[in-house]
Amino acid sequence: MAKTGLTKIVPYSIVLVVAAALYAVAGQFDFTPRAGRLGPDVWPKAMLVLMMLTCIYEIAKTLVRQKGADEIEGLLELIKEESAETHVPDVPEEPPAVYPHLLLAGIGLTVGYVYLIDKLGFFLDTVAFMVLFMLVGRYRKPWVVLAIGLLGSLTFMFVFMKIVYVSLPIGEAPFSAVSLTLMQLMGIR
Amino acid sequence: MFDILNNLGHGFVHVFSAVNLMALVIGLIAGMLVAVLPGLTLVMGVVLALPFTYGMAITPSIILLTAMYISGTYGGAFTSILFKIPGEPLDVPLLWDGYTMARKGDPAKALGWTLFAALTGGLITATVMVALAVPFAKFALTFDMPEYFAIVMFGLTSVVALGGGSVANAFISLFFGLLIATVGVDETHGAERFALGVPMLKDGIEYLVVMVGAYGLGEVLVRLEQGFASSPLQAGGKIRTSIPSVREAWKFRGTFGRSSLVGVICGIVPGAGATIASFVAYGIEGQYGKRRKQLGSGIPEGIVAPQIASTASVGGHMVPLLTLGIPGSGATAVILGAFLLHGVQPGPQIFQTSSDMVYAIFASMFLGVIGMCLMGYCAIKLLIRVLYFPEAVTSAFVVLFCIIGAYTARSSTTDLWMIVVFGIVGYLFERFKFPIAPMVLGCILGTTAETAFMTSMISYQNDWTIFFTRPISGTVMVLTILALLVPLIQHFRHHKTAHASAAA
Repeated sequence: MAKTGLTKIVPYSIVLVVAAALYAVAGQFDFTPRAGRLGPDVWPKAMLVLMMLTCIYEIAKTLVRQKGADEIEGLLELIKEESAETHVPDVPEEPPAVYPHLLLAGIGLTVGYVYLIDKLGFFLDTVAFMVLFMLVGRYRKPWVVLAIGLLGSLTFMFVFMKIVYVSLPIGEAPFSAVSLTLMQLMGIR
Repeated sequence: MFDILNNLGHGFVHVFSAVNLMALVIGLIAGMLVAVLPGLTLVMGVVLALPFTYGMAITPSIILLTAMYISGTYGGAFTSILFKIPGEPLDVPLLWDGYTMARKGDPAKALGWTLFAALTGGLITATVMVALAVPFAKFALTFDMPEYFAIVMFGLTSVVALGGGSVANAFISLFFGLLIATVGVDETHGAERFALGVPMLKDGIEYLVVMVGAYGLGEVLVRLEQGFASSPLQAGGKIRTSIPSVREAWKFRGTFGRSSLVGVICGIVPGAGATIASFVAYGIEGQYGKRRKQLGSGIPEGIVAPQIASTASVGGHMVPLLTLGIPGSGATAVILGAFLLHGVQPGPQIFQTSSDMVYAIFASMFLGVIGMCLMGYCAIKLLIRVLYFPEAVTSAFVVLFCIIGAYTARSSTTDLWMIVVFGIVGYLFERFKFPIAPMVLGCILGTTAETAFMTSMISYQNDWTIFFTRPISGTVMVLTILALLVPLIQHFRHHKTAHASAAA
């Protein structure tokens, strides 16, 4: 099978396997059946069956018609295509360059931010996240990045803790001392 | 009629209160900024504004979000016409005549036609919304559970059928959303569903985290993978607006009429939002316009048609949202979320229970349209400056808004993990071309759909044919089936035409 065909069926195969596993889980819901009433498993099972059927259709379509298996598209796609065919000069558009390492760094930073927020507290964690995220996003002006990180975090802290009354995490000792000092300076109780 | 006008008058009085007026102005500015800022989409902007409404009363909350929605349909026109950068998909048709007119040396006139079209479309849609909402609501009062189920199904399937991309992928996205809505303890039997031993899943998954994660964080991750690369800015001329005279506009009355109608109809049909309205209006102009052969060469009709239709679709969308509680687009799904977060369920009863609020929202639409045009006319230079903001900076703030937004709802760190999970899901959806809107709508309407289905089954002894045998639900179910057939028919028609031209 062509590599593109294989790549195409991967997401559907994963969804199919997950849906099948969830179907099995739905079969084990713990409830007391009532006469004449459908159980709580009926609706999710129906959704899972429909999801599996859609995946099977897509996989089968790709396997049977490996080359140029075309999609049934939503109406908007067809309208766009027809309008573009009429009004746009036929210049092939270059696909955007992709940087997987930036994506992984971004995900890692976000996961790290959520993991550390209870430990470092909102302020320190946010400053670190903003600075690192902007650098990962290829904005290379260190002083501007630092200033935005500090001012942005302070503004967020002031707006949400002082005005909207949200109790943002202050962190664990010794980091909590920073949050508490800032809160005192801003008059946040 | 007199009652409606009287209530609308009261609505205007409400909007002129300091809080509501401030919400309206902030919403208009935020909507314009979101439409102009690189890397931000209209729906994403409305999602990010949602957490700020928690502490507000419901009326200013909805006014703020609605104002963002309507001004977002106009703000993107500036970047399309001046820089050839469509802020939203709905702004793409503006490139063909708007940017061309700007390149020909008349950007001020192109912006003027956009402003005129947005003003006209906005005022028409607000009027239609006020006129249709009450009769719609009265009709909806006769609905029972089978009708509700049929209408929810129609809304969900039309989002799939009318949206962009693969229909199969849209269905998978929809079923995924409907499944997310089932997580947690079932209300009828008290059974735990898909909690998988994880304590935080027992309470269910908040649709807010799904929306914020998938639309906000997911989109940022997609852009980050592309290195936040934006198109280079090539201004099409001087930045100012020259409004056409009424006499000039009168020449294009046919375009104004046709496109307004398209916009309102596309708004009322769930799933056919501002983007479809914009493309269809342009297409219709290409078929029936007096100067159809010149379309694409920078003529006013090519600017007026998409702009008027996209703005006119907003009011159309608000009708099913307010009278049935059915959102037809990502933005209206967020507005529905705001209603629910404030404990108000939109539906036919809303005119009896919260009439003041509804008419204040209506009045805010009229004022919002005028306000956004004034803002567009006076502050265009200032708005355009945000285009030069580095995307890495705006994206860092977007991620923070997402995270704080999710945290604010329940002050729970576990919700932050959900944001990360749905952010990655949103990225994967974009990466593998699964649309996000059906998942979000499925997630929001899933509980309503299941409750309506189960209650109907209990009331009618598990007779599923009830959905087809009752007149209203039967008609809507037939429409649902037709909505599903549309892409199939279009597909085969397109295929046939392609084969015929290949053979020729």
